[in-house]
Amino acid sequence: MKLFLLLISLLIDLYSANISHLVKLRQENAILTNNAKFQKASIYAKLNLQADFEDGSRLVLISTLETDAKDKIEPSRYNLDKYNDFLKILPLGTHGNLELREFFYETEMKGSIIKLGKMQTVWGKADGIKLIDRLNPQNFSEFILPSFEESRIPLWTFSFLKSLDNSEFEFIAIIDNTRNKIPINGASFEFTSTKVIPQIPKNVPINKNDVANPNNFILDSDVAFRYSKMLNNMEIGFYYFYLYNDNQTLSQKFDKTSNILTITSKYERSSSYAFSMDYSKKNFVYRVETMLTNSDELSYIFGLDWYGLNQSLLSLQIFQSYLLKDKNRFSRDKVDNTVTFLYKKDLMNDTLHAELLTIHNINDNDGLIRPKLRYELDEESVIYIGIDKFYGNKNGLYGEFRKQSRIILGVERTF
Amino acid sequence: MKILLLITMVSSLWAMDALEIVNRINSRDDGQHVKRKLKMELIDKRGKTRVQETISYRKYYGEDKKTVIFFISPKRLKGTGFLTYDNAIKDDEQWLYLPSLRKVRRISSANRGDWFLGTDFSYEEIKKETKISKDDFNFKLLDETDDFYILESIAKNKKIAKELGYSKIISQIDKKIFISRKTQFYDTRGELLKTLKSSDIKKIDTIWTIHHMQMSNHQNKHVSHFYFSDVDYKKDIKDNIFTKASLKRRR
Repeated sequence: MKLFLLLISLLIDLYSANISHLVKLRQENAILTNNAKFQKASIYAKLNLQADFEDGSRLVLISTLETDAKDKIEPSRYNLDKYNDFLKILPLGTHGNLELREFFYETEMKGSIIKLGKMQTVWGKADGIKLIDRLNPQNFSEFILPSFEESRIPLWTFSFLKSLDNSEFEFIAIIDNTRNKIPINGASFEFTSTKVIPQIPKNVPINKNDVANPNNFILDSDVAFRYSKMLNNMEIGFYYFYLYNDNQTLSQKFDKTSNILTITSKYERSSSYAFSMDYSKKNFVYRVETMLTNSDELSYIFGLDWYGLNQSLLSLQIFQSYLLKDKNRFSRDKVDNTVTFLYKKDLMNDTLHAELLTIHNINDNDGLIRPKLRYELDEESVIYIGIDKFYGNKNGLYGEFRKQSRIILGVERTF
Repeated sequence: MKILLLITMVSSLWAMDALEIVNRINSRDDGQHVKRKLKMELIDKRGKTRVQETISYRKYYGEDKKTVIFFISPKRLKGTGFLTYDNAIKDDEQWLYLPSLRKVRRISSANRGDWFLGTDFSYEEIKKETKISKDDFNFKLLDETDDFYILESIAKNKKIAKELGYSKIISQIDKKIFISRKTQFYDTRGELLKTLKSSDIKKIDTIWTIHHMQMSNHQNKHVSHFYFSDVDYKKDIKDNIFTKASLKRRR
């Protein structure tokens, strides 16, 4: 009875709420540079419905529909093995899918903001590299090419945010065991690099032991805290994460009596401590992220943005990941170094946007170059053209996709 | 010798008057806080028009000022938020929230000569809100009519001129309300760059308020019309609207 009354009350509230909507439609084509064949011819539709209530709270629903006539990105089927069963992606044949991306309620209570539902939570200061931004798993179907906003996998989350005078405290609890979406065999961006897929010795019997994804509603939920504060012109942030790693950890054990190699893959939970900082002085913005995970790995990003040129941004980031213990060294170097460079320029009164992004891994001498031009046809319509060029060592994280380098053409309309 | 002394005395008298006018402009009451809507009409040289609408909040904290601007249309930009702390002593601070990034990004506040979000106004002009920086310019009263002071503001040095994008400003100041009705900006080469016309000036809650600004760029033939509406100086504005959490939340 109480539930019924609550439902009635919610419906009455919804009736009196101010409801707004936003629809984004996009048609995008990807043409491979090595053979001029289509890699993708997709249509993407996003519906964003929002109900704003009189008390300042709101209910948000974001749903997407995606179709791809070529079906090469994820051929034949969608790999949903690592998704939570509750309201996961709904495949529409093999060429399309429908997804409830986000569905959450947000309210303000005594100066605190509380959010509950399926959502994305974005932390950190880095661009194009995820270090502190690790609360949501990632859809790697198109590697890291789509925007993080679209490739982050939203999770069922509780969020509590308290803003004080010059500081913010945020607590996050995630009751969703969805993990990274890894491309299936035969997919355009299937991982083949030994940095991701370890080499299995030939002529040795293998016993694969895939430990089930932990799914206890309470015991396996993830938690994280954030505290940030403005100090003069500098913002500093402290973070604590107690999360499952969204990638499986692999370990191997060789039994000499049976002569069988057992490879165990399982999701492991770890504690991570992180720190962030940003500081602005004259034409420069300095950004830092550091993270220590389980006393095993220390990672840091130094970013420098320069706004000294007219209507432009020049940004440089150095990312270094340092293994403190040798136990994970079977698939990567002790120190891994990546450099990113971004140049953005707005032209013609912000109707034409030029951008060049490069990501270069120093260890493997491979990377990704992404020039892009976006032109606003009118207030709501944009056309764009770009190149996603992979280069370098074919066993590197980026070089393995050399044959997937492509030209992108697209048009997008919002209404 | 007497003539030279007289010229010196007159010019120094005019210089003082010019400074006095600038002081009157800068001390004009513009409210302790204000909430207002702004419709921006941006017209390119071919006559193609783009319309953007924002809602903004501004509040003084002593000599410091906080401003937040939220885009409400077009839908493609809805949710974009821009937060500025104009600090009297330390460097200004600015943040931009783009819904597509889901992240509040710290941006530099030093690029004050850059165009503000595709309009013909610079970040500095948006920040100053028709007031004039005494740190950046030297002033001279060029002429005086029954209704107007004609004020010349010359950038103090080349560095400032380069930062702002102009070397000289000539303003036609309304004597009654100390608001410039027409302002001409000259680029660093001394050529006319743009003209600002302020009109539809009405009293709201005892404060003279501009409701229409037209900035015409003579070099690229682009024009920006700013129409202000729903101006409210009375309703209190909560401090927590000037936070990064508020930037993210307001969609």
